Amino acid sequence: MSSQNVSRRFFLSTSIATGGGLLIGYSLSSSGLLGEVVRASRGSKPTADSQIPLNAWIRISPNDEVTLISSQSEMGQGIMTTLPAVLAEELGADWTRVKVEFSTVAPAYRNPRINWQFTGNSESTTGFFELMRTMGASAREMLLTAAANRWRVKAEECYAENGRIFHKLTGRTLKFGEIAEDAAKVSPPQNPKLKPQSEWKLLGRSLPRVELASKLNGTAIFGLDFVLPGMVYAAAMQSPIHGGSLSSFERESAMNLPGVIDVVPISNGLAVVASQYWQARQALKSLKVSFDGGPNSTVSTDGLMKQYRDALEGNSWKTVRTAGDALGEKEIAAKHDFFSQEYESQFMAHATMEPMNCTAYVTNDSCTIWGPLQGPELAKLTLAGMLKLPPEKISVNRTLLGGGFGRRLLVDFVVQAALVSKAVGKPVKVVWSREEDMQHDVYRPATLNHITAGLDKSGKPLAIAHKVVSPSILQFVYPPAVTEENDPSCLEGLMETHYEIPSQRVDFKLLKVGVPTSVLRTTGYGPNIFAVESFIDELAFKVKQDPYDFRRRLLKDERSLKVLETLVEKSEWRKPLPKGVARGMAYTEAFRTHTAHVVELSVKDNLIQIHRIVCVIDCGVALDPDITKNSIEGGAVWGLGVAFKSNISFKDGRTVESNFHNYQIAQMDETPPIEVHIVNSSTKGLGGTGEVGPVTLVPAVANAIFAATGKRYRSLPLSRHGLKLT
Amino acid sequence: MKKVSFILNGKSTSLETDPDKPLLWVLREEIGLTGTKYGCGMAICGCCTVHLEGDAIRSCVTPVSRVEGKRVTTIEGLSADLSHPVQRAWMEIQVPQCGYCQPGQMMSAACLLAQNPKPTDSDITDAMSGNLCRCGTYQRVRRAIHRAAEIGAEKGARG
Amino acid sequence: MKSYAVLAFRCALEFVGVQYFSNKAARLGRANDNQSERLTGIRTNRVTIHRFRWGLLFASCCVMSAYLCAQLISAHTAQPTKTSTEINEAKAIAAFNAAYSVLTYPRCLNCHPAGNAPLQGDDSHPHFDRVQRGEDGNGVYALKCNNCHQAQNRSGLNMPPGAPNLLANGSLDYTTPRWHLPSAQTPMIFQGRTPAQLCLQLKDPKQNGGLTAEQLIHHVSADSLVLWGWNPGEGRSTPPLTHDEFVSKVRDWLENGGSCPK
Repeated sequence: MSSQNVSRRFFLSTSIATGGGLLIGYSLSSSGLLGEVVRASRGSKPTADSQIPLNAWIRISPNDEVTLISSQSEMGQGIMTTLPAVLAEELGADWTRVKVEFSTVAPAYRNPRINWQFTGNSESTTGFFELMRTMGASAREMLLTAAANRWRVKAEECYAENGRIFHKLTGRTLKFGEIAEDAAKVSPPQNPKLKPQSEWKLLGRSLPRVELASKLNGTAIFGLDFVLPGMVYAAAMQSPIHGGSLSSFERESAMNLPGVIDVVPISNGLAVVASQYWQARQALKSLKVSFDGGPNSTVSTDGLMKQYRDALEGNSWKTVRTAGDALGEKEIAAKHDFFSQEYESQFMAHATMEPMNCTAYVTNDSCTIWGPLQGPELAKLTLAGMLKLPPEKISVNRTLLGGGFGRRLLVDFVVQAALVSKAVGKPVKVVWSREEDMQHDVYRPATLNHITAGLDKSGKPLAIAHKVVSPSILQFVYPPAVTEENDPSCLEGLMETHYEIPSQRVDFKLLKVGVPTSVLRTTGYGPNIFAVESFIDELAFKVKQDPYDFRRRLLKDERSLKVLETLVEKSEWRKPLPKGVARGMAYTEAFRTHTAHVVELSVKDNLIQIHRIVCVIDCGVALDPDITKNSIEGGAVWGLGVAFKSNISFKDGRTVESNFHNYQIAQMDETPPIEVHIVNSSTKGLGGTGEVGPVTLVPAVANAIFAATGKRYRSLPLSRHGLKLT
Repeated sequence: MKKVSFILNGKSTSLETDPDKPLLWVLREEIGLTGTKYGCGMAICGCCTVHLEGDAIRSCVTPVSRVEGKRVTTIEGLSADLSHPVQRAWMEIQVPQCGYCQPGQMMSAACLLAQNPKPTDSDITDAMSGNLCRCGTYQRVRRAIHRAAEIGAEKGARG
Repeated sequence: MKSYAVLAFRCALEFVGVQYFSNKAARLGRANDNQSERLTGIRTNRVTIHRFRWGLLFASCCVMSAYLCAQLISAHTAQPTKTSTEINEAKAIAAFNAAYSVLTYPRCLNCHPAGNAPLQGDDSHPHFDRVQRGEDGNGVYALKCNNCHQAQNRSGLNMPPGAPNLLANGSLDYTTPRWHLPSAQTPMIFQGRTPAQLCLQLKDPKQNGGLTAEQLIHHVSADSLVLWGWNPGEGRSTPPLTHDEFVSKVRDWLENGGSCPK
């Protein structure tokens, strides 16, 4: 996207935001409602009245404070550092002194790709990079013009660096704060000049995260920490059976308990409201309540998997992709030496470390929300409709998120907070206990993949046919993309591949199941690439080729090859291993990033000891290498949980797992050394990284276990086969 | 309701509360220190870790009556200015991602280092395997503990 | 004390023996004279009888003093408290086997594990979070037992169980938890022990923490951690015998000689 197009498209909306949305935000913040300071980044009080907006993203105060706006929610992926760093780079700001605040909900802050404000799908960097450059450059040129005017020199003779404007010829200088007011009066340029990558001072380096200090001294404010004066707390209890509803409750059984204010029905349950969360939670235990089971009261994992199996064995497939001859399974079998396998990925929970919560204050004519949200625009629109208020009266504000992983894209917990606040007429924080959170997640559904390939005499695949069975994952997050028969997110990783296989076909069956399903970190790539990269490895074994050689033969893309070569080098793939130690590899492009893993492990009885994990990624350019590495390392750990431990099961319409003792994730004693190597290519090929980490780790593990034992495991988690990580 | 008095982050603190209420919620809601986090409520995740007379207790299951007359330190009290070796190391190595579990990680790490100023990898595994991190920062936590041990030793050497 | 008792006993034996044999010699010497003497072995000779009676009295005193010493000694060792005439090996073994069903029940077994870590749950799976014994049985670093376990069970499923501290005077201290494993030195392993092995182990002061039989009975009756086994908190089952039954089985076992199954 060229800067010119971006400027034209967003010029109007940024000035609207400057004139409209931002000011609305300020008026609310200076009202009595928000007397409490929100320390979103470095504990700064927004000095709304003195800050001068140059556009929707940059405000400069006369005392030289530069405030950068983050449209994206911060959930550990570092985006509130990296995108503001792009602004700061172009602006020429002094990074050590910038402050970052979260934006309001306004058109200026929508992801340009789909014109929708959200944080997810690993497309914050890719979506906003060019826009941030343009906005930063635009503000810089406004400052330069204003300074040049004041000095009566040419703007081209001036430059910005470290928070100051300099005149090259005379050495005169002005601080940003000294010229900001004049700069705000300059018309934003149509085509601001972008700083070449060769001149980058901030990007491409590892910067300290803007919110790092607050995360080390206990001052960071997550949704669960946010306080409004006069706020009360609500402990939510929803129907234990998915899709069930509240039948009856005895209000009096809770009302006399300490601190209890009210018991409020919500859409599929109720909330006990009290002065303190602990009181609300205790009262919930004593409350007499009953639920109607609803239509799903017999749903079980066995029943669900039968549903999947019947779907896989049935007809009425939707063909979502064809390439070349697009041969199906039967045709491949008739024509070629063929190989067919099936893979299964499991239901999983998001299990963010910070349980679901949201704070709301609803009056007759306004609604203010504070919470750990990924989908603030969806929240705003939903609340406007539900409360029958105009959108301008809905203010949605974000705290830090203690993990998101896609769960907080939904707005169920936001709606609850608003409903309860409206009912009691006070600011309310709704909190879900861990058990409530685990059992009312909107789960990553299981996926069944059936893959068939036809090989030529040299063992090269000529045709590949996929059959995929999955419930929808985008349905609650971005409904416009989902039809009766298709959900594109379920097919990620299959619709495009770098493997040069002439005939390709993808058939899909969208299942309707009796449990709620949604996107979860790695979305469709996770299950599909587990299947594909296991399958490729099985093909390599079948034709007696080294897994790297087999893959390399199928690849032409330079970036793919470079990543794989780097992987082979860094993992010492060719070096013989001691007896009992084996390696597995996997490669793909996911979220526009090329990623590959090698896992080195040994197996004794059913105990798996991983010695080493090596990862190589090419995300175009790692704008902040350390943040990227942290994310990919963490992604490997996430992947270990997916591969070995994490599993959600259902019985009698309910989720079985309730806390971390039975929904298990990887822990420190199971974490081996992880190396991450970044290959930089070009900013034209910028890719996402937040969800990439686990994608090739999981099949690399399965492939390594095969190499070590000769046993192939095709369903996850591996604990179901008795395998245990040590 | 009962009066409970203890020393919190070096200051005498007294309040009327339910003596069986977990210390976690007293800290967060009655005293207003939200650095200590709620993650599981059953002492498995470690997000609620604080120090009681130097021991790394899990405040989500500790009744506030247990701290009567004793010294409690939360993440806010680890230092006034991020100068604790654990905080300095965490800063240098940029451990946190979302950061929600990190106060608990740091409090457990500080407890380890107080008892064992030069822990081995095995000691670190022994001490820290009860602190869950959904973002998977374990490798950095481990590096940071080694670094904190170095910083602590440097500090000690300087006197 | 022990050597005196042995000496006294041996004196008694020798004396009785000497008396008996000297009497016998005397009787034999007069065998033809007195048939009744022959039959009864009792000399009717007045002096001999007199000597014999005094000898017997002396021997008895030795036996008594030896017995008393033995009693004093038994106060410091796990010896049966009933007289040897009431020892009933089969009864003891049966009682032990019943007690064994409790000792190896998860409520006890989980904190008497074979390895370096406690177990938990009715299925005795490894305790979560890689919690370990530690040298002194109190856990290590940030994962010491009392870091999570309190002086009472916390209410709710999957919440940490707890037990109060036991003071020297026998009273319970609810301000301080007492939750721990046996030390690494004296691990008191129940897991994997056959009845024969466990029985010997429990009686051996070197392995049982230096307890006498009385003390062992007292331990199972009144120790706060043992009592916890019958008040373990929501979601945890109780052993197959009631606490009273269990105590009485332990008592029966020890008071019937403490015999061990083979």
